[in-house]
Amino acid sequence: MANRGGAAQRPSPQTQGKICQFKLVLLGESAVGKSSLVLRFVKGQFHEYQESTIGAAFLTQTVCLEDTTVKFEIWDTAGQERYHSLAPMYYRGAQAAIIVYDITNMDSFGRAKVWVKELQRQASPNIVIALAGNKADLANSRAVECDEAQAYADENGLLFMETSAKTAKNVNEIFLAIAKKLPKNEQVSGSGSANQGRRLVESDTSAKTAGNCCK
Amino acid sequence: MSVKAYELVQIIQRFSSPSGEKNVKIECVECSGKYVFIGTSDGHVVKYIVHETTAKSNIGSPFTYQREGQRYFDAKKPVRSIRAASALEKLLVLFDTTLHVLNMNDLEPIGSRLKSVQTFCVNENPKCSDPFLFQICVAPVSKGQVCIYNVTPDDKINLSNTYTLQEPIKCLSADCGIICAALQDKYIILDCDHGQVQDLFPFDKDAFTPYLCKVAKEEFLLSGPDGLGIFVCAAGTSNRPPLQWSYPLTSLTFHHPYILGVSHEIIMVHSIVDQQQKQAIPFLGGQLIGNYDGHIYVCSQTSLNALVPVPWEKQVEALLVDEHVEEALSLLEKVGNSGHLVGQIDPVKKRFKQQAAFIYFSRSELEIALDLFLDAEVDERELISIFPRLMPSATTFLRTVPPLHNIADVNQLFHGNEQRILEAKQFLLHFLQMAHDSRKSSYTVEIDTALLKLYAELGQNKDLESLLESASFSGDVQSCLAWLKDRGLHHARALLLLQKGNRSEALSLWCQMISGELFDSNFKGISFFADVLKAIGDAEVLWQYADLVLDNNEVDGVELFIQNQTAGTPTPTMELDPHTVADYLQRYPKALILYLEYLINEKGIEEEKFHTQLAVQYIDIIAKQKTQDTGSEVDLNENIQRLRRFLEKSNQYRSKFLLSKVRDLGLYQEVAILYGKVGT
Repeated sequence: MANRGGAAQRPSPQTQGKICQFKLVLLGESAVGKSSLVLRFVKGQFHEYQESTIGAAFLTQTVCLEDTTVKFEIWDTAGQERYHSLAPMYYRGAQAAIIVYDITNMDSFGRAKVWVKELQRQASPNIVIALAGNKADLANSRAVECDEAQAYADENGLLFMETSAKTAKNVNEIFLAIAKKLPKNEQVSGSGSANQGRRLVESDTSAKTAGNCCK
Repeated sequence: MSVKAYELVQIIQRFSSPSGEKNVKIECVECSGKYVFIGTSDGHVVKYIVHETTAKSNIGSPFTYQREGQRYFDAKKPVRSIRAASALEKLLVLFDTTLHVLNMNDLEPIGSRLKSVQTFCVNENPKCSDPFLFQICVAPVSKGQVCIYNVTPDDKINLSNTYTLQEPIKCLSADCGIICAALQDKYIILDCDHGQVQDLFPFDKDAFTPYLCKVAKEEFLLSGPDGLGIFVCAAGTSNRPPLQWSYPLTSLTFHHPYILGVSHEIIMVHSIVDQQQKQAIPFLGGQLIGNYDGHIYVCSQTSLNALVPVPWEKQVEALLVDEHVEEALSLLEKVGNSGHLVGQIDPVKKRFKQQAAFIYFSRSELEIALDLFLDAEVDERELISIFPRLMPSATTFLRTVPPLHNIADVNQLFHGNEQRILEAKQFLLHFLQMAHDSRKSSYTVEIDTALLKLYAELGQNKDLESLLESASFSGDVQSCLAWLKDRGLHHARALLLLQKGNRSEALSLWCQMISGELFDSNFKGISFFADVLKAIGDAEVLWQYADLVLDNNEVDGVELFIQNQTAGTPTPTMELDPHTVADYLQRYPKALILYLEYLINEKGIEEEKFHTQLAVQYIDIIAKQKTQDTGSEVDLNENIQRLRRFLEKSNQYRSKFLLSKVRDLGLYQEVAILYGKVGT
């Protein structure tokens, strides 16, 4: 900044914050609170009677991490089993996933493990996966021990937090933890397909989303 | 769901086969320019010429049609698909499982045929530089394959590429280098450049009918489980949330920005922008819909109809009539600014926005209304005129026709609800302040008149006065005066009169307030009046009212004669002769002292007469205090100090004349000073 007052300079990538866009998908059994987590994270709201998601929903939220602005493109999928076959349409190309279970429902934890396996097998190899034990406010009716879930997450290299969309506990935290873990510089990646969908945009160019000609 | 994006218009009410057979169904449709081709269940291709008449009659359809020709294929089997290669003047007809090429004009078969075709589609954006290239993607019967053929101008169908798939195709669509297809039990997407096939999602082989259509460059919409419409891009990912159809589809097409889904009961119109259903058009027996170069045709088994896009102006108008104002505005946002320079607002849009603003206004959603009124540059008079009596008395303004709203006035609108009317007035006030300050409007008379009236009515007296004191006030005088008078705002009235040059009437009003004949608490009394007189700067006027002021307050009154040099505004200097003033002030001793002090201390006048006169005034006061024993000891001492300081400081007075007076009062210290001065 020595030559302040000189000719106008284009902001250089070194001095200006970066904007990174990441596709994040939420998966998990129905009624574990995927939409509620997103609603809490994006709008700071909680609805006691959240309607069940049809197909999938899309929202965005931006978080700031030091000099980087991370924009999450969040795909909130429907948990009902009849929509399971659609999930790949939404997790394909995702850089991050939150797999949600309900701490009061052991079956939902089992279903979460199946999702982890599916992602490990079929999603981008570098995908950052977080496991969220939601409804932490209902610890009285706990069916899944925190230690057990933590151990499972450790074994599988997942981020893990118990969250509550109702009390907002760990909701921002889990998204931030994911943002921190995501690679923020354009590294030369081994295979194109693994990184498809990631767009890295410098802040001085407007973000153009390919293929979205209809705004 | 209130947008009226399309109108359903009948073209052929009851189709009948050239064979005369009954129960013949329309199987497929194609269009090229003004020609419409219908493929039938009994092996016919029928060519019609269709005209859209501009003269819209209420009686029937604006379309007229005439049969131009037909082609009959041998067996009693259906014509399953027709596609026109308009540039080549050819028609591709899939009859049973054979793809025929016909001359578009006479429907005679030409060139080669392709056998064993299950289905085919046209790639309208083939990756090729030849503008006449007509590329089709063909799915063979019971083979897991898709073949790319180029139809050439010399009537050949040349195979260009073949891709192997796991199963035979049920239906397909292609764009650029991407083919999206439904196989027997799943959708796939094929990247022709890389030869890569990506499974999308499975479906029930028997119970589910797949539909797909292209919606954007290399993006398709697929029918999915539970009536969902799933978007898919080349990478096999979905970049838009799904939409949901409420009735089972029988056909699907896209006409930007709407997705048109046909069911047996209704035509469902969804927006690709927000995936919400915008319109439902009742249509019994819907079988088939297609977008043929921008013409939308929709068929039942025996009728041909057009879906005519409603011009956006009409759509917005209809929405505004129903007060669906948010939808109207969002539609306006999406419409391009056609035919107007950047920065210019389309007058049609402007009008719609004004109408929307009035709707928000009538709902008391005033913040949104304000933005819209400003954005759409509403004629301020339109808004003022819905508030009774705020317009100038002699206004010739008439509301625009057709009207922007159906509000008679705010009293009617808010059913006399005081609170809402008050809010509306405050809103108008805010709006007018902005208009007044911006000085952009050419209706300053109306704006300032209404502004004054509102300030007066809402008791914003400070704002009222500063409006009247600003040089930029240009309201209508007569109606403003009457308004102020009715509300007892005499001070403001006088200000207005003064501002408009009616000085004598203004001053006489203030005189009435000074005398107590009129009362207005906003009048700040004699000092204000003195300031006004000084500001007028006319000696004649000044002398006229000087007595009045001085009789009321000598201290304020003397200010009339003091030319305050330090004041920021150079007041028009009156040539007032100090002798005349001093003589005049003889009757007002306090004022006289202040005036003389001003002459000597501030103006530095050295004339003996004034110096001696001042000393005499001081002495008189002391004498009066001593003899009448009025005032306190402190006051007396103060006055003596004052005299002493003056005698010490000034050298201009007549010492001898003063000596006897001072001695008479027994002020020996002062006597000594005077002796000192005489001695020099």
